[in-house]
Amino acid sequence: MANVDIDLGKYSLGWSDPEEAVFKPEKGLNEEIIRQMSEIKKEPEWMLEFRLKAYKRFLNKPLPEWVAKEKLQKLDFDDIYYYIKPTDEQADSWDMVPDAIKETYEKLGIPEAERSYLAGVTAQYESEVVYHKNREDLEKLGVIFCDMDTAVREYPDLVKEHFGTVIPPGDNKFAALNSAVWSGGSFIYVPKGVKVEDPLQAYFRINAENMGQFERTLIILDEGASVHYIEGCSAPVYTTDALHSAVVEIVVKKDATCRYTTIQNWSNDVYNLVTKRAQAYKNATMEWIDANIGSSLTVKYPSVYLMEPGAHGEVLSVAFANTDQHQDTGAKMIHVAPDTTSLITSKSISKGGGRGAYRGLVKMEDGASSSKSFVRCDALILDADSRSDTYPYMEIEEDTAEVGHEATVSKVGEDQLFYLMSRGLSEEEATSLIVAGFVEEFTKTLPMEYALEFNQLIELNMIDAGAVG
Amino acid sequence: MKVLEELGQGKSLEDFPEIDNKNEDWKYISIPKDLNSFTTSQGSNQGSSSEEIDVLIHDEGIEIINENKSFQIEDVFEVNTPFIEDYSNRPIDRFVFQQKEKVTSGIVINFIESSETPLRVEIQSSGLNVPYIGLFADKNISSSIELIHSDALSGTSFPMIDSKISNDSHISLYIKHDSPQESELITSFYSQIGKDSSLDVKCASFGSSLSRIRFDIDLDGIGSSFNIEGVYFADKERLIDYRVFVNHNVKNTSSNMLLKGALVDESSSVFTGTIHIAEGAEKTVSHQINRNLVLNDKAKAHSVPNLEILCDDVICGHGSSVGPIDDELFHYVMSRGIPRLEAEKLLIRGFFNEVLNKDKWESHREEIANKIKSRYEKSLESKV
Repeated sequence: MANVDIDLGKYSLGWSDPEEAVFKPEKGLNEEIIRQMSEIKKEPEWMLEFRLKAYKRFLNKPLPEWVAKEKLQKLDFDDIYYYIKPTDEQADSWDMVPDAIKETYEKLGIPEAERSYLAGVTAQYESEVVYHKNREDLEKLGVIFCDMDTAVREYPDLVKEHFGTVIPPGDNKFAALNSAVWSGGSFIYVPKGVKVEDPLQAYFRINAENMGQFERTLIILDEGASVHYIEGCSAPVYTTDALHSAVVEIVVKKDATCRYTTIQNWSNDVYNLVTKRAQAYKNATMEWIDANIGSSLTVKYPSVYLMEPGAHGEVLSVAFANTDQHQDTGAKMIHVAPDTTSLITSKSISKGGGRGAYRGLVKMEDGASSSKSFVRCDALILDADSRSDTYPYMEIEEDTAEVGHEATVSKVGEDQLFYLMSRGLSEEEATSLIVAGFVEEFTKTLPMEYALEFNQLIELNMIDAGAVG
Repeated sequence: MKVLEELGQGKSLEDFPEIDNKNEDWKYISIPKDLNSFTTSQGSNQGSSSEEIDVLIHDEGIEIINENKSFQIEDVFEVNTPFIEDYSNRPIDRFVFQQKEKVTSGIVINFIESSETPLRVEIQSSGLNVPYIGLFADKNISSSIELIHSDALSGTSFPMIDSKISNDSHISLYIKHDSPQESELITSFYSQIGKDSSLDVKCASFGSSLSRIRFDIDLDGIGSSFNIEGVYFADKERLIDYRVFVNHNVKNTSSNMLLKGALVDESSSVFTGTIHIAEGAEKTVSHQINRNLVLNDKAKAHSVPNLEILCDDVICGHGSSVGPIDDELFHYVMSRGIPRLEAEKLLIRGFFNEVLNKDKWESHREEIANKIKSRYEKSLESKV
């Protein structure tokens, strides 16, 4: 195997461009900033009210105490910009996107990806969507794929009906914060019976120092519809803490199928505190496929509420915790209706003193008869300084429901290393290969370009930490 | 009381936050209303037992019924030197602090020589008592203790058990709990296990209205091990709550946990536990299994088996499950001509046999299996 030639002084997906924001309010948050933000966005009255109510909730909610207490206490909510509008007008063709922003995306390979298969691109740069293009045939099918701000203006009824219903603003402190100051994110509506064959994709980036990014995504699948949405994140390296606190709400109606893939590669100073939740109705399927690499702290438990008989939920998650990183990820499955099924597969890798944790909940409500759930957690610890935790909650209030959980924690097997090294691989290459094999279940679900990028990210992480240690 | 002098020294009740369901350690149970500041009381004590007992601990004090030269038994209030030198690792909350302050009676058992006959201790209560039991085994001892909670535990009891097992000692402890429904039992169990020593716990629990035991185990010596096996069967509105926290503090230690329970009527069970493998505790081998059969639609089970692993060269796995009896198993048995109800009894027996069929359960096997069967039959009758 050829040696990977990487300049360890630079982090290939972590750079920062000079800031060119048009409107930039003060740091910190108060009612006035929220009113200003809402006015600039030309939002309807109900959205402003929603924001202001959520802001009150945010102030009243305490920080969670059960996860990464020390890191969370370092978070200074007054030292963050809550809204930045990057350019005057929204671009509708690639040529109109400002050069500085374009360069950022080119480094991420977006134009390339678009040419090959993309159905539509919504690229988030700082707070608002700057570039957005829908493929014509999607429009003909009646599929709506636009940024959330546009959706609030152009599809008020659809948005108002579902916005904040899956994740109410009072759900947790960070969901409340997002509800108050959200900006950007995607809105997708797939009408009855429409199956979107190519994945829809959006890239998110954080680019201003100390800049919070609070995107809000709402996906609605009408009966029998299907969609695969891909969200990829890659942030520049900064020295002070940046906060990313998104809310993703998904409604999967009868017989519909939704797959939501995330590849997150945050730089080491980002706090990534995300609430993701879906409701699956009769015979619907919801799949969260979630990879977390980088960040200082990631707290994310994608969840599925299985609301009607036959609904199925799946979470497949991969977390890589490197030096100074804490990945607290997992899944929640709430079985409300009978005959619902769910599957959680979690793979975590910790290296160089990183901490990987699976924290999950399977709840069988009284009445979720004959429902089944299985949770499998595998953890790989690559050195003696790292840490792996498993906190699987199972709350069963139904006698005919079946829930199983299994977990293993291991290091890279000596025999596996020996086998590969006896074939001429260095120990580093052999370990990389074994790690890639460990997460193969995840990479298999990705489109080719993503699988390649993901494997490269894993490899980068392996080598990066090797150089540090 | 000299024995516990070090524990929570210099603290007062106000230093500990009140216990409520938000506290992870007390989640899922209904907390008795006076738990945050309880008062001990004496009931009308029976002082006799339906079992063959060597030592009796009740509201009024202790009674030594049979002397056994393998065990030296001292009244806890007369012991002047604590047998655990350092309590610093022991977690202490408002409940444990109160237990320490309010011990009503108790004993320290010194294991003098190895013994094949177990020492049988019964705890009774008709008021509210806080019995203390200390277990101290040093130097090549192999011995066993049985701790019984029976009909004569009709009130509330908050036993506190401390043990130190070291220098190639091997202690096995059998805990049986089968008390009237109105009783309450909350036990705090702490153990330090030293070099090449082991503690082997067997639990059979049929509960009280609230039956809770919390184990905190420190595996402090190289080659030490902790093993816990248990069966539980809860009926009516009983709640059985196991919390098992095992700390692997040094290398080459092992722990094994297998808890199986069935729930009928409106009963519920809680299992939470954490295997914590400290930095540097390489070559740890640890397994944790909890299986629950939920046999009635009003019964509830909560299972939270946690792992915290801070080093790499370990073997660690856990599994837990909650659900009814597998349909395929029913099909297999019924296709051989056995009616459903009989099949169910057979399968419940089979479920528990994974634990009860082990050699070390031999002397308790029939008693426990029959008890489970009769409790189950009673629950069926009450449905009719």
